Amino acid sequence: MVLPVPKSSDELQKEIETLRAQLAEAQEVIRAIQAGDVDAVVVSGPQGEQQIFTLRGAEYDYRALVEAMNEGAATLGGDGTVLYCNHRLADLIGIPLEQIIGSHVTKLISAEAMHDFEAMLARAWRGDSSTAELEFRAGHGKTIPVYLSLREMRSEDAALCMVVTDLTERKKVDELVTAGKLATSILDSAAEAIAVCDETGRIVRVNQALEVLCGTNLLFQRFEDALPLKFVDGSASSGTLFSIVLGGSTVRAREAVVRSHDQLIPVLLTVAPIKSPKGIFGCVVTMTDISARKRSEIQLQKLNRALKAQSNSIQALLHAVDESTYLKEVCRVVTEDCGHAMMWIGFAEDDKTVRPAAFSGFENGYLETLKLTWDDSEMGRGPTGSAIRTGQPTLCRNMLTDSDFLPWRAEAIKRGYASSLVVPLMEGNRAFGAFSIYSQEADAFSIAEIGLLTELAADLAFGIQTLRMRAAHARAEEILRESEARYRNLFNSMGEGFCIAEVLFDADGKPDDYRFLQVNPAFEQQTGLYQVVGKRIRELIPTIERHWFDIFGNVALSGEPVTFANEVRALGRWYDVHAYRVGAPELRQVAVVFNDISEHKRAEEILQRHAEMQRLSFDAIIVWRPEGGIESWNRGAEQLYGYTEKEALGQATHELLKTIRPLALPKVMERLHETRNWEGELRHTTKDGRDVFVTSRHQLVVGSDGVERILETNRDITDRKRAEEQLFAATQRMSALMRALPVGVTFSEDPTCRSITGNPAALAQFEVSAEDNLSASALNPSVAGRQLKFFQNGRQINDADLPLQRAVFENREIPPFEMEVLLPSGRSWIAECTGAPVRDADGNVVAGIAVTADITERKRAEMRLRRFFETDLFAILYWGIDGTVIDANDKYLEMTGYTRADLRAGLLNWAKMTPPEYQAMDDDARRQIKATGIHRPYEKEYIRRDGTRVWGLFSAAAWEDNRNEGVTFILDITDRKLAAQALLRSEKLASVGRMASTIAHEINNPLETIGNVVYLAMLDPGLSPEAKSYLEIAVQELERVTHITKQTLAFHRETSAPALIDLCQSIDSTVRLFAGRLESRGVTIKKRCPDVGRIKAFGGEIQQVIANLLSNSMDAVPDRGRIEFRLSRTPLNGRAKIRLTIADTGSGIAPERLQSVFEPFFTTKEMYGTGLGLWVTRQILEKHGAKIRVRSKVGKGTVFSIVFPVAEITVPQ
Amino acid sequence: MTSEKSTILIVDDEPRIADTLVVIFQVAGYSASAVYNGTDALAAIEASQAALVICDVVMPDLNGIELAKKIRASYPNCKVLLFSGNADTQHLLNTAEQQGHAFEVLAKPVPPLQMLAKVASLLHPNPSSFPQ
Repeated sequence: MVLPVPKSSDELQKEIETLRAQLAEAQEVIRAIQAGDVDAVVVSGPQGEQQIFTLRGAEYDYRALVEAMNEGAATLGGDGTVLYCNHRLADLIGIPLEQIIGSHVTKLISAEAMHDFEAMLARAWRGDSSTAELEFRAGHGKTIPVYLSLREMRSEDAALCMVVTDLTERKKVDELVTAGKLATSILDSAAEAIAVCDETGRIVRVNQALEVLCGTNLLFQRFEDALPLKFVDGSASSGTLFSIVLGGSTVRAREAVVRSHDQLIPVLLTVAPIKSPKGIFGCVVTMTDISARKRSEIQLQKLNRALKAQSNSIQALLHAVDESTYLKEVCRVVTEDCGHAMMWIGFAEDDKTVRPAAFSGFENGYLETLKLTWDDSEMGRGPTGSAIRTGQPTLCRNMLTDSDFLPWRAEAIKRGYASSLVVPLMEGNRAFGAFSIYSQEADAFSIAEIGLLTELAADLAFGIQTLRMRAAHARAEEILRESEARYRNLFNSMGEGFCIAEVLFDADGKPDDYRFLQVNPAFEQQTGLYQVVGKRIRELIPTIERHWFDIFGNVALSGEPVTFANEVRALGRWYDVHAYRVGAPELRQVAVVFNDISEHKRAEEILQRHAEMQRLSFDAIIVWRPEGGIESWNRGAEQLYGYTEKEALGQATHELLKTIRPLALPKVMERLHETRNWEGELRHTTKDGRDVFVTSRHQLVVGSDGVERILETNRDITDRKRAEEQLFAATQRMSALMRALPVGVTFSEDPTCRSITGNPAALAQFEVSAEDNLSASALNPSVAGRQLKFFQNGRQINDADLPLQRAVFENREIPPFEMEVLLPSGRSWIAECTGAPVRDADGNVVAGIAVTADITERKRAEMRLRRFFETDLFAILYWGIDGTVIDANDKYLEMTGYTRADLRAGLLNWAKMTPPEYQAMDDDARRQIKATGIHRPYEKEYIRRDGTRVWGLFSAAAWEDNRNEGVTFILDITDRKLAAQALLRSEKLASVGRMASTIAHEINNPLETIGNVVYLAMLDPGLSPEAKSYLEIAVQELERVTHITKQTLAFHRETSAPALIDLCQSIDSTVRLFAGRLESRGVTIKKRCPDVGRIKAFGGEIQQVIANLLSNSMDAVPDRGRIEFRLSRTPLNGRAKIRLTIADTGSGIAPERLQSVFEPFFTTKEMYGTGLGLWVTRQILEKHGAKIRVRSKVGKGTVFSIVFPVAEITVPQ
Repeated sequence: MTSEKSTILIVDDEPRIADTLVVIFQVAGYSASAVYNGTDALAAIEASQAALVICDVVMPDLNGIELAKKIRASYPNCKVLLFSGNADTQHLLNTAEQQGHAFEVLAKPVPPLQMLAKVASLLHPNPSSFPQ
């Protein structure tokens, strides 16, 4: 909407100002009139003429004035009734004058304004004039905006003057102005370029968008000159446009091109006429710049093409049969779908050249000219080389200007290429090639298209890899097929029988059959069985030997191949068999290669018989007659018995050979007559007197002459007999040995360990009888062996892991193996067991043996020892004399602050832990160890890992067999040491206190004297004021000194009150503090403490007394000396006292020194005594009212005796 | 001075202390004399009819507390005031107290004015008769 502009806002503003001024003037006039200040007024009448009104006392003139006013006016009575109203007001609101007068003024006011009006009324009645803009209710239900002024009229009682100015016109103007502004702002804020033209086609208004689009100096030019445009479809131009629009039609949303600044701008054009009641007086031209949209449309088209190319190239991959076809196809789809001039694909060769592999489009020998490389050289820095080298797409926006493209520019331009894009083909992080696309336009590739082409490159790379993989796969399949064929060939042509069988197991997991899955042609020849696939062996041969499926079952379960020979009796054939597991273990399939070796076996048997025959020929064969003796005597007989044939002939055999037979000869003859045969063992004596054993066969032969002859065939079994005897003896010995052995011996006579028995010790160990089967591997779960449970480190052991079984299965000796045996009775014991296989002459395992020792007791002892090691009281150290810590218990680690990991890492060294000052003690201890195997306990410190120290009482012993190693027990006495040190400190403190007390006395006395003297001096009346002032200073200073001594020299009092003390307890607790030292010195403390009552004392001080005396005694006694405490009650001076004596077996004190022992600074211990111990002791005792005495004899010992007053006597029971 | 003068006996093994106190008391209007050990003190009390004995505690042979006990026993009207420079004195006093003998003790050095005030309060419970 566009409006003509009737008045400027300035003009309107002036108009309003004029109105206001007029109103104000009118009000002022009225005010002046009311106030009587004015006598006459000149009024401009509606017609412009001037009238002069005289007011004073002139009712008519006044009325005339009011009537002549341009404003409406009225007077109101006190109740709001309109008393008078001029015609102007009546006209204004369109209600007849007569109806207004007499009505209530509020009837004139619109409902919305009523509230404000009532407030105005109230103010006016109070004497305040007020004005407001509000709305009057006019006739015909309209409202009129007015400017209202109310004022009290002084001249008349209870009356108000109301002046009303019509604001209707002004409101309209306001609205127009607002509308105009709105139109302008709409124009200016519109995104479309807008021009307003008048009916002559001249531009009268433009908005900012148009200025941006087409420049600034458009106003008042003819539209067709300033903005020549033409429709895209050519249907109209600027010139024709106007005639259409001015004809009243609107041109809507037409695409046009407008020329501006020598540029053609595509726009969407709308032209609409401006109509008014008077007709069309112009038009509005709206143009939307659509060049951006146009550009993206073109872009979109290209992208669509690239997308299509990508999709088509994927299609190409799906249909590709070989790589070169695929590459060619991709090049074709990209050039065709994207409309580019040429595309080619090249691969990066190992010699850094780029080999073109495929292309499409207009190439014309271009690729021949390239000579591309992908190294960092001139020929490698072009787009393709760079793309391959960097792995990034390379864009040559303009071949004419791109200097890197120089080497190829001439050839490229020749073929009309203007720009190119190269995208690398990536495999992982490496470019193995690239494709290059050439366009005839410069700068032809948008970012989005590059993106799509990069994706296409990824697809292409993938496609190439896929194809290569496919090719490799195909080759692999080919090879596989060949190998399969070869295998098949072998399978079919091999002479050995071959089958794959699935072993079948019964409910107990034992193999009991197998099913043929596959057989080769030779299988049938070898077995004579036909069409066996899918059938079970027991179906085919019900009498098949168990061992077949046992062995195959084992192969299927264990996976261990076997080779063996065995017989299938039903087939009458022997087979050499190799079987191994095939497929997954759970399939339980075995492959069996076998060969019929029946022929060999038969040959073997014949050979065996032949050998037997040969052996027979060595038999002694004798023919004799019961009457008449030996008739025939062969070589075997000669060799066996040593008699020649000549010697033997005619002799009676039993006489010649001194036959000893189990049956008397007549009985033998009897038997011969019955059965013609007798067999038995005989003992003969040879010519040289040896005994020989023979098995003899007698055969009665009755000749044709009727003579009975005996054919006696004797075979020498002496060696066998001897061996038997030896074996028997050995067996007997073994049996005795077994019976006598204190260890259990168990043995299995089969290599499967299904049955195991043992010697009496073993039977007792396992609580079974000789008939029981001890085997934990027994098949029958109810046998005794299966009831046993074996554990190692708390975990149950499988039967196969037991030493006997392992020895047999692994065919090796099993070293000692500890395990816990849990018997069915609930008893358990710890066994140490070794196993060994028993092998036959060929080294095959035929049996196994295990020796089981009951080491429960030993283990228990070991465990007890270990418990001892775990003791928490002693730190225990297994040491090497050089400082090595071989092992230590937790207490030791705790004491030294190391961890077990430190110990294992070898970080501990007891010698290094020992501070240097104890080196001498350690050396001495080492000497004692070397000499005696132990050392006397001594105290020393260790430096803990954190650098702090601990005190220990050390006692060690070396191993009997190796004095360089041993064990040390260490008692941590750090607490005691600290307590003793604390005691020592308190003792020193007490000495200092006592000294202080003595010093105090020595100072306080002179101070007293000085105080007195100064006082006296000050009393001197002849004293000069100066001297007096000096003395006053002396008094003050004295006060200071006094204060200091009292503060510092009287401090050592024990503050707590004395208490009742049991001396016996004091002794005990003090002795405890010295326990470490006493132990290390081997000093014995003896104590006789009957109940003697209690003393009143300071406990700490009494303990100090005992400690001082004990400490002295300990210094005096030798190692393993004795110190005795004794308490007794003694009457002294008629009062009950308690006597405490401390006696030692020490060196004693010489009589001449005895008197001085209680003096301060007296000491016999030059190096480490303070000389205060006994002095302090006596001080303390005197304080407690006790007396101390000493008796001593050099070389015998010393006795201190203290007598305390009794504070409380325990009532005797 | 008059016979009304109270006689004070000072006992201290340090003659200078005893002597200077004698002068102080004499200047203050008392009759005073000094001895230097406990044994002499007993004789002097007998001779001077002392009203007050001021006595050191730590002395050789007879210490102040033992002396005081003897004075109590033999001269019930004679007042005793102990003074001592040794902190251990307290312990001796405690022992005496436990045995039923309570004594007052002043810690050396005792400022002369304080000593005079103490003596005055012991000898003249009525302050109006304070000697000039």
